[in-house]
Amino acid sequence: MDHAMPAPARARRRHVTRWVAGAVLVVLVAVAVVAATRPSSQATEVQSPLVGHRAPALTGTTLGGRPFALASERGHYVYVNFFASWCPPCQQEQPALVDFAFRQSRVASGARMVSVVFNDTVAGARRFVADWGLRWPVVPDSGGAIANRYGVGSPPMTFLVAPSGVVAGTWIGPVTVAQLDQMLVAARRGELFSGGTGTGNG
Amino acid sequence: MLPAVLGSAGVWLALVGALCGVVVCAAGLVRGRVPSRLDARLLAVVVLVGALLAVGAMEVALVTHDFHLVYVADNNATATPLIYSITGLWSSLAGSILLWGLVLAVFCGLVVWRYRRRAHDDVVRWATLVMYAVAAFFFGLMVGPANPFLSSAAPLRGAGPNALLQDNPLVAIHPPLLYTGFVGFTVPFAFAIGMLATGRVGEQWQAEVRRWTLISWTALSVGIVLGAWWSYQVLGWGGFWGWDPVENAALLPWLCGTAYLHSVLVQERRGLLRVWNLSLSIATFALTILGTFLTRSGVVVSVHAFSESDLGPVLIAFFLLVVVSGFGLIAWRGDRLRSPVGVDAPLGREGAFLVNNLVLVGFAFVVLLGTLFPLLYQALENQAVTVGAPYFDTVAVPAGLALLLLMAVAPALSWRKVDAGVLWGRLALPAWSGVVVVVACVAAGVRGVEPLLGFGLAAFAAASALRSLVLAVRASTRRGAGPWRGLVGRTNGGMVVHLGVVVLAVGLVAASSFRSQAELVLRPGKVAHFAGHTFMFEGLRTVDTPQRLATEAIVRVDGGGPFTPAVSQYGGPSSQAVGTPAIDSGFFGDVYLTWDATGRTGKSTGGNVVATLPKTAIALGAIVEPLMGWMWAGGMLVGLGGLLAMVPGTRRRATDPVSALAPLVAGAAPDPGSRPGSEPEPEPEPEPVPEPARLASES
Amino acid sequence: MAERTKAPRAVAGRVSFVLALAALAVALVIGSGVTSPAALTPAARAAALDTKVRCPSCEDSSVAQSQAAQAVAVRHEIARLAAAGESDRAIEHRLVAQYGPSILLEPADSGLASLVWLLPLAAGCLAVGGLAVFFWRRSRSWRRLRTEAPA
Repeated sequence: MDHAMPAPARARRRHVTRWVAGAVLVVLVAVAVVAATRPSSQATEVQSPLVGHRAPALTGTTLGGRPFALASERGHYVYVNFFASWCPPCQQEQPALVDFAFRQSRVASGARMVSVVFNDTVAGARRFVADWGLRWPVVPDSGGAIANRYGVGSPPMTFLVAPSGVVAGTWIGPVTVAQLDQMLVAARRGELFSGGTGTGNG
Repeated sequence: MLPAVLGSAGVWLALVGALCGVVVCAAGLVRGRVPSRLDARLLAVVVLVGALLAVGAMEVALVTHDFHLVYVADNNATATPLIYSITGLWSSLAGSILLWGLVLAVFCGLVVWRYRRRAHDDVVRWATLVMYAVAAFFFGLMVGPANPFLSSAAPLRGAGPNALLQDNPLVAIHPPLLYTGFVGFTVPFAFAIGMLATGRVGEQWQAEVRRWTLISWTALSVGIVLGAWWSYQVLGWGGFWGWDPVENAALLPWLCGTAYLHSVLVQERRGLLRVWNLSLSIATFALTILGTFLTRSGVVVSVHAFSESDLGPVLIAFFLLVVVSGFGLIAWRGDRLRSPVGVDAPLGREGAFLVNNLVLVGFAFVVLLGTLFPLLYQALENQAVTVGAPYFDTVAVPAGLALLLLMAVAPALSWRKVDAGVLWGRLALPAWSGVVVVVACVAAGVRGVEPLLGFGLAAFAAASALRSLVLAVRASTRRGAGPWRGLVGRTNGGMVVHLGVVVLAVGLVAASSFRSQAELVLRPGKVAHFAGHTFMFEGLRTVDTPQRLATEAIVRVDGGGPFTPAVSQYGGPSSQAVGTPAIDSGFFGDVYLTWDATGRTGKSTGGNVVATLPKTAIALGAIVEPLMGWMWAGGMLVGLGGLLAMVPGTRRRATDPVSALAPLVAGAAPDPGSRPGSEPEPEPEPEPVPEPARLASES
Repeated sequence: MAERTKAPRAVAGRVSFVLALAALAVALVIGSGVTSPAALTPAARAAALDTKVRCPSCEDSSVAQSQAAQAVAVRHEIARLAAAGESDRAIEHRLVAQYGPSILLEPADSGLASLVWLLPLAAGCLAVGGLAVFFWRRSRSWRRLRTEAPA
């Protein structure tokens, strides 16, 4: 049937089909293996590019009416936590934050805390602060400018700012006391820390 | 509790039926052509009955709000209206697999019924075996990781469907059509495996497969367009396509299926591209499985993805099985399937189809790469990367323009080779209409090379398709067959599809290139002007039904209406509020309204505009999109064309007149591949296989 | 097709073809806007950038499409920077420094990420090259057949 094609050409082309099919197969199997071994996207942690760099400006008037500036906290470890009252993981992590803040307040060189309201009404934030008993400065973020500077896509997200003013660690998603401790220990050793459960705003 | 028991029984029945089907078909293949006492045909009925039982039980549970079933409790509430109770079947993972199973059972039944008199043909045996195997896999999922009939002893509280899945009736049509499309591609795959395994790559079988593909393709096309329409009406950003992984998962099989529908014509007419066509059938099916994996495993970030599940590894394993068996068979059989003749000249219609296939498959490759790239990059570099709309658009625009050009030129090309003078004679009128449209657009003030080329090529392609249709209608009238005969059949239906694609493309180009968007701050009774339209805000009203609690803004656009963009809560005051857009649709374009913010409630959306909003005012998002409605009309025309193409057309000469050299190229031996009837016989004989090949296949 | 008037028709066809191409070219040149280039205002630049930046709190829609609070915030930031005269590149760099590379909807054109651009390019070249070789070989064997066995 194959009169039009000389025999050597036919042999060569036969191999072309086989090689092409084989190559496609190998590539697809490799891709499938990568896909199969990937964790779910919700569990993949995202690293903040801010770690190791100077912390962006954070100034404003707290819900209590006092002025706040991160720059004036220089010399202390400061946790910056972004939250919203409508975000369940934020509610989930508040007891840990309150507990941790209480214990740090009793240590001489303890870390300080500041919370930033992420896309929420002032009324909602006030209720949230009262409900969970937050006793540290809470800064509303009108227009989302602070969240934008810190690259926060969805709350909760926690940053640890070293006494030098450099971001020493981040945690994406709800945080526990152990993780907050771990972050602080790493920062005191001069290590940078990135982690998270990446659960986003659920 | 009864639905849970009946449903589980149905799933098990279908699973056992499918497994028995696999065994019986395999036994038939091993024992050769001797009619077996066991009949695999009846098992299709068993599978179908099982699937119907399971789906029926689930629907009864949904409609009667039987919250003993975990699935019903998760996707239904007592207040859910009947239509959204019914659609609850496919609003979540386990139920959607159940729907998949039902559609697959129907296709199994149709295949077995259509080839009931040829059940002992080895190709049919292999094909039914594959169908049963795929069915067994999906029903296996339902007794394992995706069990829709998990129940709890005490009735749970119904959470209600996702808010976005209960405010538009399109959710009743779009997913079943999409699933018909996806699942239907199992049939071409099954026959591709059958043909490869038996070594009989008859053009007649491909003609059969083409019909099955056409059914799925039409359903998938309409499903995709309706899906785009749904997201346009519901999601509130005025767009319809976001290159989301789940959307891409539907587009990929469509691209491959479209390529197949064109290249199979080359095989039917000229006996060419056999390996290519089989590869496309396999790739199309493999892509539907990959799409299922992407949608349901949670490995890619997507707004449409189902909730996280442990289906991922199972689905990817099945994908691997499909790919390895399909492409493994091609690697093994590839030599035997080679075509005896080649494409002759770049200008012939074969050449156009070849280029068309390269564009479609190349585009599919880019879409696949872009969809999987974040996954691969994260695995290699441990860093997130986004591949979004700008990337896909970079490729989609030139690919779309190239396809429009091919649609314009290809219908005027003859098979084999065409003389340039004759070609210009056929193309002059369509080409000039394209040029006239471009000139008219420029004169009317349209600026931008891409939209101008889009409109011009669309006019060119439309005129070309219309020319073919007019000639066909005229010819069939002359024959006395009635003018409607000129609109049915493969070629003419295809031209109607082309017209639909052109209408869709015009809408797409106009709406995406010339949309204008603004945020209008309006007080009650005041009028605003934007993009040639006037907007008047009349006031707010509250809508409170058991299903929905909403505040609507009453807006008149150009005096018409009222249109009511709203903020709605489905499932009580504590549930998440979603925006409900309102659309003023017209022939020349749409005005799309969203309610972005209001001063009265003090609800901040974070923007600076909102901070300064007066107490009684609202911030109204207005998007003006010219010719938007053409997209949906074009999509429906594509569906109509697909249906017309399914109707058997008039018998034609086997081939168009060819140049005198043709027999020399084809060789002295009669070439069965190049001369099939242009419409398949209802009972195609297996293609005569060259002797050595047959021997090899039986050894 | 009637072939009697072939020669004059062929000439007329060729003239018509050239005319159509010329008309198209002129219309496209006028329509492309090169005759009256609009100055690239900061607002236009910001609008173009908006389509390339992912909304931080969404999955994969751009800040131009999204009404989410963070999208609005990023939009305002881009508009501010563009008005302040920062180049597109500088604005993109700034966003990447805050959010990481996944904030951009297009992967970078350097490093491993550039594969997403290079692979389609390579595939395209391969396809066009393969097609050219295929047609060339076909037409050659066709010509040879014609000379060996004239009809």
